[in-house]
This record gives sequence, structure tokens and C-alpha cells, in this order.
Amino acid sequence: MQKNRIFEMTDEYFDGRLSKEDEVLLFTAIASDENARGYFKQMHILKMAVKSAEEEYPEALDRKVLQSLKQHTAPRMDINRIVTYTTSAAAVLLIAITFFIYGEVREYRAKLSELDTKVKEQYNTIEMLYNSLPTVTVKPVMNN
Amino acid sequence: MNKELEFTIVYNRYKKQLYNYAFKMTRDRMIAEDIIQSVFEKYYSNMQDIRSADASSYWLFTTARNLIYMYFRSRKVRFTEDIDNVEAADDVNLPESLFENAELKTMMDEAVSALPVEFREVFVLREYSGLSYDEIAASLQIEEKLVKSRLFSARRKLLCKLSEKVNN
Repeated sequence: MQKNRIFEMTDEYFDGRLSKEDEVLLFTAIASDENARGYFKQMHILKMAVKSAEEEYPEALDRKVLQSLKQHTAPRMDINRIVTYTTSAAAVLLIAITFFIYGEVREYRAKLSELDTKVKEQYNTIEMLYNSLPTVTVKPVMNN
Repeated sequence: MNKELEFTIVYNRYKKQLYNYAFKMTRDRMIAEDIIQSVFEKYYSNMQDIRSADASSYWLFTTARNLIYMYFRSRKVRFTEDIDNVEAADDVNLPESLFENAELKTMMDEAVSALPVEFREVFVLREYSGLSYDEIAASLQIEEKLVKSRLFSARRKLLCKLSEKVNN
């Protein structure tokens, strides 16, 4: 078997990708070929060295990520909510203004009606005063 | 399923793999932590659009990769031009006494970071993030055959580097 194919199969074996049939071929090659045996051993050592150089996940990063997600999930005023609140407040304000104006108009109306009555009374009084004056008779005088 | 619970499951499943990917690529803990935080924040915001577990894995690694490459661009990291024809020596000999070496982790980290970015990426995704060949191919948008060849070369180079370091 070709040297490169043996190396390739060794890689696949360590990556868990070698089929059962090829595994038999690989171990047959390893048993008979010193190069294949050597490469297999080197790969085993490399795998162990890789394992020893694995990084542990820092606990501080756990806290950092979870903290940042809490900020993400914290209830925030979104635009829609702000618009809803503003519109509702404006509506309430408009209703209050409408009631106020309505009250004012009613008051003016009452005052106007009162004034109108007073004016009518004064008019009647003046008319009565006019009527109480003695009748003036105009006599024509001939000066010639 | 509740959004927070779903997120916790995905977070606990991928956090170590992603952190190893970001750290082994950037070689900077602070940058790696920022990348991971950013990836998970983005994931949380986009969870409703990512349905299956496979899609989550693909999404997380692709997002992490984009952020890593943004960092590389900001640092003006150079990429190898003819990356798939880098030579690797045939004769390597790593002794088993390597494991008695107290500096094995440092040696290993130095050897990995000395690899060209494209080789390092395939190697890290396979060895430290546990992605399969097809998952790596999908994340990097390259052919599976290329993944295998880069992985093979990366391993040969690492064996050479480690061998050099041990023998010195």
C-alpha cells in the first residue's frame, strides 16, 4: 500500500472517519510496515499533546456573557410603547380641554343671557320713562 | 421551549469549542473573550431565525470566523499565498517523554500559532472544536478534500515543529 494512503488512513482513524474494512487494512499495514507504525505512534503522541493544550473556558467569561444577556433582556421602552403612551396622554389632555371649554362656553352663555335680559329690562324702563313724559303739542304760530 | 433555556443548552454545548477556536486563532485572551461574548450576544438576538442544532453550530462558527477575520484585517495579518504547497519534512520523531515536559502546553501553543492561518484554522476546528470534515468545509466554504489535505499538512508541520523543539 502507498505510504501516503497509509498516512491518510491513520489520520482518518484518529478522526473517527475510517471504515471498518479500511481499519483492518491499516492495522495490517501497521503490523508489517515500520513507517506506518512510526506515523501511527507520532499521531498518537500528537493527539495527546493536543489534548494537553486544550483551553479551559474562563469562568469570568461565563459571568460576562450572562451579564450582557441580562442587559439584552431587561425591559426597555420601545418606540411603539412610547407612541402609545404619548397618544393616550394627548387624548386625555384633549378631553380635559374640551370639558373646560364646554364649561366656559356654558358660563358665557348664561352671562350673555343675563345681560340680554338686563338690556331688555333697561329698554323697557327707558320706554316707560318716555311714555310717562307729558305729551308735547306743537302749535303753529303765525308771525305775519 | 423557553428562549433562555434553549440558549443555555446551546451556550454550554459550544462555549468551550468556540473559545478554543477564537483563542488558538488570535492568541489573545482578551480578544478571544470579546469575540465569544459578541458571538453569543448576536446568537441570542437572532435565535428565532436559527432553528436546528446543526444550523446553530454552523451559525456560531461562521459568526466567530467573521469576527476573527475582522480582527486579522484590523491587525493586517498576512496570509500565505501558496498555502497548499507548503513543504513538511518526512522524518519526525516525537519521543513519548514529551509528556514529561512541563512546557508541553506552551510548546504546543507556539507550534500551532506558527502554522499559516489557513492550516491553523482547519487544525483548530478539527482538534479543539471537534468539527467533522464536512462541518469544517461548510464553515470555511471550501471542499472537504481541501480540508483533509490541509489537516494532513498541518499535522505533519506540527510534528516537525514539536520534534524540533523537543530535540533542541
